[in-house]
Amino acid sequence: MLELIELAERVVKMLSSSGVSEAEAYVVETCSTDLKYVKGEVDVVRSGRTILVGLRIALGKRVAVVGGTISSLSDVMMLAESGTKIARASPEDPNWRSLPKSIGMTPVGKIFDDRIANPDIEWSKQVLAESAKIPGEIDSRTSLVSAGFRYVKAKRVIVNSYADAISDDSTKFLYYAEVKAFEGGSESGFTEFHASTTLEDFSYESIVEKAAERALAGLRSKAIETGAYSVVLTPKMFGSIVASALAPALYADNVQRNRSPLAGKVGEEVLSSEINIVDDGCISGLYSTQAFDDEGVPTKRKSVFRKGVLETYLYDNYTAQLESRESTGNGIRRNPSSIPRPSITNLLIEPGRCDLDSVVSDLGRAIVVYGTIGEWLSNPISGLINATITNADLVENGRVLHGVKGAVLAGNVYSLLKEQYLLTTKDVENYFNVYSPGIALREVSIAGK
Amino acid sequence: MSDMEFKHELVEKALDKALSLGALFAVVRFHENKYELITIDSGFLRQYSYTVAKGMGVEVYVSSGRGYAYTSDLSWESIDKTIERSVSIARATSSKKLEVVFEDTANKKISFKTPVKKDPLSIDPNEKIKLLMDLNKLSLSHAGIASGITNMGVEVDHRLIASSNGGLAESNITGVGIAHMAVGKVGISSERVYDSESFIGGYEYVERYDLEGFINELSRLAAEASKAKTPSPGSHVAILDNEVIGLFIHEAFGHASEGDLVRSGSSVLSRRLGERVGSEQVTIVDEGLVDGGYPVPFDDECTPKERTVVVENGVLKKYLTSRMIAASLSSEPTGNARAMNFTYDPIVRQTNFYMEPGDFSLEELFEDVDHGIYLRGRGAMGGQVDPSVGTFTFHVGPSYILRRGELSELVRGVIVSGNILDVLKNVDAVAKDLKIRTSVFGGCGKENQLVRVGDGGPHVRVRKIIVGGE
Repeated sequence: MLELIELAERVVKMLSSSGVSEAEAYVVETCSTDLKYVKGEVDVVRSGRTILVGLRIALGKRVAVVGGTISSLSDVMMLAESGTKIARASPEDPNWRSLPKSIGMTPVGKIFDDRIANPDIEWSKQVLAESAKIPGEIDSRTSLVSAGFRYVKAKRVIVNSYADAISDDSTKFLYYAEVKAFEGGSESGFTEFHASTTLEDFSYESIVEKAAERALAGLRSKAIETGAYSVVLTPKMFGSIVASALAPALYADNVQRNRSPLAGKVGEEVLSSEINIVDDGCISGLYSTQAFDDEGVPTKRKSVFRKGVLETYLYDNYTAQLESRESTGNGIRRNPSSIPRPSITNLLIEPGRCDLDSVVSDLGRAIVVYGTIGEWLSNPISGLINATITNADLVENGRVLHGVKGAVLAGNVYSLLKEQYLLTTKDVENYFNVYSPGIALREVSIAGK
Repeated sequence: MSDMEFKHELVEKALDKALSLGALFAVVRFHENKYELITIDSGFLRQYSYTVAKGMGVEVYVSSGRGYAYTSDLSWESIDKTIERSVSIARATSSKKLEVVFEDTANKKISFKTPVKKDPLSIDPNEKIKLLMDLNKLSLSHAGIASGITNMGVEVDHRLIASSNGGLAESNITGVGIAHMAVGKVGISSERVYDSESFIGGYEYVERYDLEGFINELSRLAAEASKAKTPSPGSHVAILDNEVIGLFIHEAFGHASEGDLVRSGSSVLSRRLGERVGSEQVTIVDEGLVDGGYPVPFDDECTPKERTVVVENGVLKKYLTSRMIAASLSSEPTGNARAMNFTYDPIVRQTNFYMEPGDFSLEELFEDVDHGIYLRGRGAMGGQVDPSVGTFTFHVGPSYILRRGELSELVRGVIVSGNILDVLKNVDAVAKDLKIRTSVFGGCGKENQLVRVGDGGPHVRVRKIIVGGE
């Protein structure tokens, strides 16, 4: 098997000499190791390596994308042949201008950790064994039911007809812990996780402790009356809702095709003037930091909302060229054989000044939400969000009255982040590539009993 | 040597190697998946992509545990290293002895192939693009439609699985589907409605189906829904259509019946075998081969997938299992060990999970509802469950308020939530009209693995369910 850069360069050269007008090769080599702990034992260890190739081929304005796993150079050449045939059969895309004419890298600091690239299985097993002891030490009603590690090392290479190959190496890490609590006939559970690009700041103890604490709190849960409540979304909950309900409305393809409520609103105060949001793909050590996006455009920092005013959409090369502007370095592929589309890199929501506890104390009667399901089903086209609460406290002047279960939180993301906005907290956590504080909101619709 | 003979020889050689390294049991899986996706976005061809993923995975059991290793490099040198790695990591997994029962499948050979008259991958790309372009334009021609995305997905999935106790299973499954998302816009109010129709078989199904009717209905619904209000939040009597009951049964009950969650104590159904978990009207089945569903003749551990009755007349009868989970729960493997592709080890998954029909007519279901909601699946975006406590949520399509047994106004943004055990006990009428569906565009996600599934059931009436809205 050829070295990846040579492989990518060779296929682009071959395509160019075969008469296609533009060619791009995107190659990703991934090595991963997973460990899963279930009920006192390491259940399975999974490990392996894949090489995936994506080719974008243009014959004038006729464009095709092909890709897949490869085992040899001949697999790549077969893909190139299929792609050329498809491009030849495709109608012209009048909006097609070109592949990115220059590609490059932004210095990004640390996105690679040797301890993730070469995981220590024995250390991982030891951490899982130690993790299992923590819930029982906190409260005998709790136990760790599952936990796991995922270690991923990836090498990306991109080259196109206009530029030499560039490549980067990165790592990603995930640890999760699920704790259950039992008391009489009542049971409750909570899963907490840590997702990062290095092992710096990883503390399994704090993750398991939080899962145990919230599982215990869930034992006291009761249904609540339907009504309008003050609500505090803890950081990961807020991050998850922003990722599903707000972020897709920033993508230039959705804006250009009439699928975004933010269309035509650049320069308008869309959110509360207290809210500042940045998309930044090049901050050292963040989850989705990388030197270039998935079509080779250097990543950069851009202010998306400043004092609630929408400042820009997020562009890949294709959507940027439609508006005769530069890509913002947000061309992301779902997999190597997908077309790049605009997507967030790292989305950072500016935190406030108060910690979560003091915010909760000042709210009077409120629901503090720690766990939801279904928030990812929120609708970025209408802005409607819905999340079913699985772990929350009903509090009054900072005192917990009881846990909340069986309730649905609903609203419109633009109303929640403007008219219903109260403040953000100072604690920031990451929901994968969304770095967010907690947020306090007023008069939120809650469907209960 | 033909390609097929080469693959058979490769899996046999891999099994021999695993056993020679001390594996007590091994399963070798060769998997090749071809997927074509064509996307027309508001009048323009946005994507014509073709993906081939192929590789091999090796699952081994040694006296101390289980390991899984995979590679996309199909040279013998790479496969050899992969087997060595799987055995070595299996030895590192656990200090306890597994008590896995490797049932005798000696000489058990299974072969399954979907009948295909016209291979969808061989159809002229121009013909497929023209069809999609026409359908997309048809949607955009509807009043109130601001945007539309039309997709064609084609999947050809080939698996060859061999186990060290003589099992050999091979499948070739072809599927094709059309999906459309219509975006309605009235003033500043927008709504999307997405749906798909998938066919297990060849392109002949696409040619036979009334695709224009499908697009027209979706487009009208999107335009109408963009003007609709959200429902009043609270608890309602509800009638669930065939798609919603499928989504509900899959999300709310199916996941909790998966044996790995039961074993870890992560399922609300743990320790409840033999208990009443639903009303007398409720019978729930997981079945590998069923009309309208996705064919799963065997699982990825070479176990045949047959009919598993999970709930019978409201009583929990069985969990879904893999080999290892069956052993740890002291039951039989049900053929539910499935993997998305060769990079994943098989975990317990549903196949075609559905509710059995009852004996009510549709008229009988509706006539007793004084005030309630008719929950519709068209435009549903999916759902999620927290199996540890049984809380579920799902986003259904534009639905109708019911007054005195009649359909009243359309509502949108409908989220349904509740606890599975409460809801199933509140099922008071089940209709006769069973319908099961699958999709080549999506499936069920668990532990980062997406697998194709089928789900469905008849229309069902529930006395109480929580509906969220603004």
